[in-house]
Amino acid sequence: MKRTPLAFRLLLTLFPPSFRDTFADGMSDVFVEQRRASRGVRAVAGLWTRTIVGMAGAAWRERRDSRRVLAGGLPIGETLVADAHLAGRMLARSPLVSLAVVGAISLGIGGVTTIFSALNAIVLRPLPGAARGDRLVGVDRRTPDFSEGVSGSFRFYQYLHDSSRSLAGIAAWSRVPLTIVVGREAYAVSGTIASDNYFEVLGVRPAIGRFFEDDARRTPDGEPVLVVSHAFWKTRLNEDTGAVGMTLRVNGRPYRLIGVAPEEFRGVFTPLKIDAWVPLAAQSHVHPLRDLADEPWLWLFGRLRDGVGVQQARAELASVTATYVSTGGDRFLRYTSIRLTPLTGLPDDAREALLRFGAVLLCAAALVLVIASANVSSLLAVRAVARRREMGIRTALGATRWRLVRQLLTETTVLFLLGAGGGTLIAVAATGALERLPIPSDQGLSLELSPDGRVVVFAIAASLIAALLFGIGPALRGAGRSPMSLLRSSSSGGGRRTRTTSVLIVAQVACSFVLLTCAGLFARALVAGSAIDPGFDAHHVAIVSLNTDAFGYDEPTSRAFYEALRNRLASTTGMDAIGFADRLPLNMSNSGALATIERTDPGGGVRLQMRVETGLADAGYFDAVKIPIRAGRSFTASDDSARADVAVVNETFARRAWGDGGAVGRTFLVGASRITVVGVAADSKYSTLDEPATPFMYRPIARHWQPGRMLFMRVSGDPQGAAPIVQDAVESIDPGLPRATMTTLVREVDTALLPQRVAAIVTGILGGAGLLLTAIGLYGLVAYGVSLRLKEIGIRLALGARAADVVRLVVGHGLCLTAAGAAIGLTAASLTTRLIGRYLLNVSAFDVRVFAGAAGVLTVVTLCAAYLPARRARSADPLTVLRCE
Amino acid sequence: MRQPVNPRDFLPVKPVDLELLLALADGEQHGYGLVQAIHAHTNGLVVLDPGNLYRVIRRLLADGLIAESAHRDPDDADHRRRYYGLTPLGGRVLGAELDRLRALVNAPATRSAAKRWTS
Repeated sequence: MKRTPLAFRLLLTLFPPSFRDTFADGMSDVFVEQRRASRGVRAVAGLWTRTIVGMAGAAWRERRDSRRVLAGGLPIGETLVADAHLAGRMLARSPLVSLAVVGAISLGIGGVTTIFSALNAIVLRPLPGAARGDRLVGVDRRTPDFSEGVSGSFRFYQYLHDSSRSLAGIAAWSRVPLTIVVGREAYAVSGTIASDNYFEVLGVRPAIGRFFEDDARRTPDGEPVLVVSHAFWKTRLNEDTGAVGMTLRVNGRPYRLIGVAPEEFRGVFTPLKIDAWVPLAAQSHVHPLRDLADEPWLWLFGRLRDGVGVQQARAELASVTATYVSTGGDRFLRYTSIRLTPLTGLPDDAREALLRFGAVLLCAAALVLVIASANVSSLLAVRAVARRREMGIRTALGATRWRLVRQLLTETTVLFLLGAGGGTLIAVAATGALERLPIPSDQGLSLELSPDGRVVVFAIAASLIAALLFGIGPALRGAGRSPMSLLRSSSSGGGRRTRTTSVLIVAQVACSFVLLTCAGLFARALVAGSAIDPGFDAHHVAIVSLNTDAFGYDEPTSRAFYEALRNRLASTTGMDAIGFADRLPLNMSNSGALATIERTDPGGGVRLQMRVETGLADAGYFDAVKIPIRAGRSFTASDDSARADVAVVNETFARRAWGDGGAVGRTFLVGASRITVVGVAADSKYSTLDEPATPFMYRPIARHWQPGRMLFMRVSGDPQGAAPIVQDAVESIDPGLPRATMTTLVREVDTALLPQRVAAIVTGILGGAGLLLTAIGLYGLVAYGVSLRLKEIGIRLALGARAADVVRLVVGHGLCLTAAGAAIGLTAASLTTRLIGRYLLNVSAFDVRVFAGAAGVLTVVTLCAAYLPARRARSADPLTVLRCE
Repeated sequence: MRQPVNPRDFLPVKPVDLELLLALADGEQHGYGLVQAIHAHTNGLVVLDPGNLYRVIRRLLADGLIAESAHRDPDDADHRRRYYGLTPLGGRVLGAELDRLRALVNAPATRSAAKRWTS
């Protein structure tokens, strides 16, 4: 026989065996001859193509025909249906066990699906409402190593818009607070100021009216235009279709309403609910005092041209950016590159942080799924013993082993798919609960987490993988090897079976241990975080965010307004202190400066350069949040005048710059301006709770003009009660201003602990579910072991063993398993908890108390789970037990 | 007892089957010989791959139109090449199909159509 190529032999395997047995030699012979007759590369390639296509088609048709012809076996699709049918009957026969199994799997699948659903909604899902959202990219100007970024200026946007070839369109937008007056009511909404092609690039179609068209050219002279969200139209305009075309007052000017956005569209950063859009041309109205052509204030995004890949577009945009910088485009010389990110509704950095956080939670949920699956696996293994007779009879009747394995796997798969259904229901409920989780925010956050098609696919895929991983073992064992071994006495082989089940239990205990330690660590972090002294007193402080800039105020009117507001509030009873600052403490943002300190040492002048954080405040701020002044004085009204630039520095600043020598009266340089230290304030936390001591300087807010301010009020009663007082005060000064949104400092501090809080709750729930499942599994195994050994126990009792010995025997078995599982879990946990270290604030990832606590909880649960079967064993009557056999 | 089979039950014969029956009309052939004969007979229009060739063979064997012969190629050292030949039924089916085609070609309607449409 001439040598047949391997590829051809592989093609032969496509044919049904009966056909192959008869004709394989002939087919090989024909091919070898054809191959020999082919000369040249083209001929050989043609032969191969023809042969592969022809053979594959022939094999498929042959299989189809042979299925029709041969009565011996049903096609695989039909046996699958028959198997599923049989599976349904088998499961219905023992409904309680089936229900327990489906319940356990639902819990496991529900956990992973809930977290995947939330992740999917926040970071993975393309923008809702946009057409072909997968082609949309966020355009992010970065340094070449991508470590730092800068927003786009209007000039940069125009340059990209005119030069880029790889994007079908590029749009720019920014957030802007808008106050829309409808009738006699003024509504403060989160607005977006966007380029004219914003909706076009997104592929969003208006629900009513139209979107921006060349409004940039019209607006400066003509009437500015406005688009509102569907929700705004529904709740504030009473779904009046005639509202389009109406004139509404926006930030004190008449705007014409030209359109309503579709219901599902929520803007480009979906967690922020956007209620109105104005074109970029309105910039001179909404930010009247600023020339924003060169300021970085815009977010950019674009739509990839058809056939252009992300990498290709990135390279082109980066080179356009490099050209822009090298031709003197702007002052941000270091930002010469571009990063493209999927436009999924979140700023890029937040997206990454959330993905990382979500991955941790997803892993925790996956552990619960493993526990649930292992549980089910051991249950199935036990049941397989009970079905040995059935399998034996079927084997004797001619069923192949593979056929039985397939049947058992189908049953398992049906169970797991039912579990996927249950899990999806759990996910729907759980995401609903998560959406209602109160997230304190002054920015109208609202989450939309409900599962979509992708989530359902995920649930099904997860359940199928779990079914295969944990179902194949019991199926293989259940199908057995020979009918004889299957038909022989049912109790033989029990030992081997409990051994595999024991391994599964040990795995469950290990997973539970890891989950419990994670939950414990997050809980400890939450407690530790709450116990961290932020350096200020958050209680009884109400905060109002104000921005006069957006309402057509210029600097003198703004100053007058803030002064009037302070005076009016100060005369209110119950108001202990009032202060202004430019930022919230613990809001994660930094604004740094480089301070140069000239120290006059005996040996000569030394220049010390130090990075410091800065913030603006007034004298009242220190009183309002109770940051004590350690030396010197706080700000005074005289600091406002332009005489000397002054600052209050914190203790860390003072110590690092001047050691223990007094800081008051010293000077330092920031840029070209010389600043005199007038006071030293106590250290506090500025951007995060776990930050190290940070040098910080406060500068007088009155001197460094800032239209947007935070008003801090220390009140004697409930800070929430300050809201109407502030509103009345604002209204009495200028009725045209919107209702200010108010929050409390306590809520803001709580926000800083949000990751820990969410993680502690989620892992706590997951840990509880895992523990419960493990306990049930342990109970089941010990009870099953007792039932197998009942005869032995009976004999022991008959020979004079005491009941306590029996209990010790049974409970000891359970404890051994737990000890083994805990040992593995301890190792696994000490490796994995390091991964969550970044969320643990100052708690050690190897916190002894948490590890010991997890071991303790597992021991107690084991004792309970093993004691119940042990009691049954103890009360076994030797006579009955022995007679039963 | 098997019922006597009417050759007309097999008409019309599929084009590939007809080619194969024709190739066997001159005598017994092995698989590759059939491919070559069909290739020559159709001026290279039909080149069968091994899979489809043996599918046709399997079908014709099952229908009893061809049969494996005892003939072995003296040049084939292993004597592994199988030869196939027409059965009496296969011959009658081939004859009936050719009659049918002849009648079709000679029909007056076919002639007038041929005059108009062929070059």
